Amino acid sequence: MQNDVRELRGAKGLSQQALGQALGVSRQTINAIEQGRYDPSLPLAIRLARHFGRAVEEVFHVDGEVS
Amino acid sequence: MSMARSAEMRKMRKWVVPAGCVLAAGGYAAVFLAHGDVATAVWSAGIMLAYGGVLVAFSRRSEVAALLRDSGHDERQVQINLRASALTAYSVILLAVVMAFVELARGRDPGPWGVICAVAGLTYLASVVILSRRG
Repeated sequence: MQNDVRELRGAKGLSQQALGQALGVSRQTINAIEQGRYDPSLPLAIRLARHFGRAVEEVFHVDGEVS
Repeated sequence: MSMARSAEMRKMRKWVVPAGCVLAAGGYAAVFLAHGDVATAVWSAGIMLAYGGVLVAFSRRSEVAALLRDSGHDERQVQINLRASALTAYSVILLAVVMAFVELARGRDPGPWGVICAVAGLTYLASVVILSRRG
């Protein structure tokens, strides 16, 4: 699944470490999500989206689906 | 459980594997020394101590070392640990099944290989039943 986490994090000037700490996950997990290597659970996806003040579907996109 | 207690438990859990390595090193050394095999006692204990030492030294820098030292803290790390555990179990069970057939082909009783296969099969069956009911 594609996502805009890297762009949203960059816009806020957050490091992967800082975002991970804010969400209670490791830096490597944030990196894996950004790279599309790991699809987060629904609760984590919701926490991520809320952190950026967005809805889940605004942050995560099903492959091939244009938002 | 309070946040402080949870953090305390997590700190303590990080030392379970290194402590296990020290205990295993002591166990290996004691067993081989009891049989008068000093060289193997030193080597085997040294390998276990080195393994524990590497985990402690690199767990802050390497996620692999951190996962080997602890079972992981977030959902992805827990998943990695679960999948690695499943893969490990599959390989052990595959070995047991192959060895049980080898023993049967030789006209011998499968012995402990058969017991391992039976326990693995029953555990898998029970797990599927229980976990599917839990949703």
